[in-house]
Amino acid sequence: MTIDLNTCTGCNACVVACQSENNIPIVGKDQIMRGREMSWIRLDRYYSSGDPIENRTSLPSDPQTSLMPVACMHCERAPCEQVCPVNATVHDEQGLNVMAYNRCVGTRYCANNCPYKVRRFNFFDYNKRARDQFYLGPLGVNQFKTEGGILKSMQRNPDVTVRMRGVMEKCTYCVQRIEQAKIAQKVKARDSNDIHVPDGVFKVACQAACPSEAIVFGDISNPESAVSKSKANDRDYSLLGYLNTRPRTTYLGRLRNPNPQMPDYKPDALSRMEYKAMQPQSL
Amino acid sequence: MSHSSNPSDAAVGHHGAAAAVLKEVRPANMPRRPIVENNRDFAWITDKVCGIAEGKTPRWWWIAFIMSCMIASFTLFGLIYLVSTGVGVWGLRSPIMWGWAIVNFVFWIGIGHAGTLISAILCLLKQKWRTSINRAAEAMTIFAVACAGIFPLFHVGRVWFAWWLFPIPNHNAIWPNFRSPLEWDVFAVSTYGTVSLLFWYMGMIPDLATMRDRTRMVFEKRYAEAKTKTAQAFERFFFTFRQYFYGILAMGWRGSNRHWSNYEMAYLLLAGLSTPLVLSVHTVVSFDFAVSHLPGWHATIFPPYFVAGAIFSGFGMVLTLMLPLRALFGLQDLITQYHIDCMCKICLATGTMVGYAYAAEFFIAWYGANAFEGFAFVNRAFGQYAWAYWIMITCNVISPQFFWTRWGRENLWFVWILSIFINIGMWFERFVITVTSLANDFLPANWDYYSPTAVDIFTFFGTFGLFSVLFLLFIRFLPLLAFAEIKSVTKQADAHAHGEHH
Repeated sequence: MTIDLNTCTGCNACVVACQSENNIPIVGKDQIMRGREMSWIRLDRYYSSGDPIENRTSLPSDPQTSLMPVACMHCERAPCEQVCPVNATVHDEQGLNVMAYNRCVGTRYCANNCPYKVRRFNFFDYNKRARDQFYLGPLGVNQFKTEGGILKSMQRNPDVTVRMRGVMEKCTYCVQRIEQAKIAQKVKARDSNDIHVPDGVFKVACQAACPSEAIVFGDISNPESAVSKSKANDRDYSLLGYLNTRPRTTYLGRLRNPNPQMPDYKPDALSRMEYKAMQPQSL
Repeated sequence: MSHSSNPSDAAVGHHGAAAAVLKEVRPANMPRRPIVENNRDFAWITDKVCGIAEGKTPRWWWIAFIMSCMIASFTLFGLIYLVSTGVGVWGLRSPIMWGWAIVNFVFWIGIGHAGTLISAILCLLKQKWRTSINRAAEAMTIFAVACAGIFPLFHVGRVWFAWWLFPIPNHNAIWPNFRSPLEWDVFAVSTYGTVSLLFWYMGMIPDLATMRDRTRMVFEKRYAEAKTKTAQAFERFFFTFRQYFYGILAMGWRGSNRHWSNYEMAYLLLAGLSTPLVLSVHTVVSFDFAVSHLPGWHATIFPPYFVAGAIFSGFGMVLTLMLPLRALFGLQDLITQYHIDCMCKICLATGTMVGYAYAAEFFIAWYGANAFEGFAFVNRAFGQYAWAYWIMITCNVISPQFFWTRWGRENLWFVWILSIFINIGMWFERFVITVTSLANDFLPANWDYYSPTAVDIFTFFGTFGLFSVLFLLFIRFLPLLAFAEIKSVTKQADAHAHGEHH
């Protein structure tokens, strides 16, 4: 996957699309205030004034916003996988970093060791309990047995597991869509044995929802795929790449082209080219 | 000083200044402070220690026991609420996925270090003063490990599946992940707990046999004192129980030469086995942090630093427990000022090592020139958790420095208060390490502030109750001091004593 920060407008459509595709529970304001949002993809915002000195010492009054949608990077050397004592998060044969909910006992070590902090933990039975009854535990109403709860569960995506409390969850790269595409291709291939899923026959949820097509997803082992071409762009970079996690989701850096005639123009580096020009050559 | 140092002087005198080489070297008899004071004999020691468990249950014991049970119930109710409702009842939040539970785990495991250190390492180093404190310290170790074990077990999201961490065949048909430090923890802590328990129990066998043999004598005395029929029936019932209790636990010990010889060999072997364990347990616990790559956790200094901290906190807790017990039971002749001096000095040494480690961490964070690492440490000392950091520094680095002075070691109220400061400081050390590193990691967008809930606080507080319940039962039923071993280090037992008895 690549995410182009140049075209991302921060509209949050990816966040909503992911939520409905992957049966992500809506935990309510109280739990959000307690830092327990469940979004698999989130939109990080950083505010700056274009003045690096001022950024460090005060909050800018007229900020420029840098946006960054962050979801599980599906690292090739995933720090989460190594620390899980029960093998609940592992690599599959196609390179996805998969989460086996049934194996998870909820030590949360994976979340601690994830430098991107994209893992989400079911602190309560978010699906089984109403939002005002999380703290009641078994004394609360089992939503799966109420009429409204049954209706709500009909809204769920039947291809995606509804998670119980105590397990970790995170972006799966919409593994259900990948598998559907593979199965469809296998059916189509029949005796021809051409089971290679062509590029672009399916989209992951966030990608499908993105109005500016900032998200590209596909097979990086195919050099002709859109995602491979996107990764070949020289704006491509890995978030926290120095940790050598080798994330499979990479970003296309944001370019800006400020007009020196404008009143808010700042000579400081805000674009990659300018930034690079400012770096000492030894780096 | 005795006359034993004189012959060498005489030799010099006899041959005059010409004799450059002495015919015979007799090292001066170095006076050591006695380990048992006031020349107490074997019978006194036996009576004293057995008397603690054999006498009538004191009123304060019942008050303390009932209060401890009530406090322990906080943990019970906290855990019931936790398991029935979800880990969300604690204050955890993204990105601080480990909070008080892990802090408390490391804290209790650290306390559980002094016991085996005293019994194993000091045994191998032939530190005779260990005999007066090893039994209680080992009991403390085992109870502390029991308290520690609660936290990693119950902090998981689905505790009913926690057994998947053990390599037992399960319906998922997979092994645990042997690359995970949490998996190493399972083995390290369970091994440590088992060996400590074995060591404690095995060391107790001769003492238990003594108590078994004394049961009839004590019973007869108590039975004669009992006035009513009910009281007599109670004494009969209670002492029958005691007879079997000590009889079974003593495993047929007769104190024969062969028994003693086997016992001493087994003790030595267990000491040898436990010695690496003392170092390995906290090393493995530190790997939970050091093996991850979080700035502030990912540090090679962690194993020695954690072990030093664990011994520091362990001895702090031994002092906290032993000073009141010494006063309550009048054990001043057995746990002497010399013992307290030794423990204070160990606290001073390990506390200073811990202080050095804090400084070294800062130096490496600067010298390593890693921006994230540098930030993690500056943030630790001056960021949102600076209050916790400075409590830690005050308690752990500054407070043991008072043990440099004789006054600081001999003023027992002062020692006791400092030992509590050490416990507080070591808890905060674990808090600082666990929480500050998690709260402000790589991406500022994720940063958050963690604070515990009432459930966190009460669950932790309750473990002190649990610890006290277990320790009070230990005081009441088992020999508080290893009196068979103490007898071996008295003056009377030393057949080759130099000095007065030539």
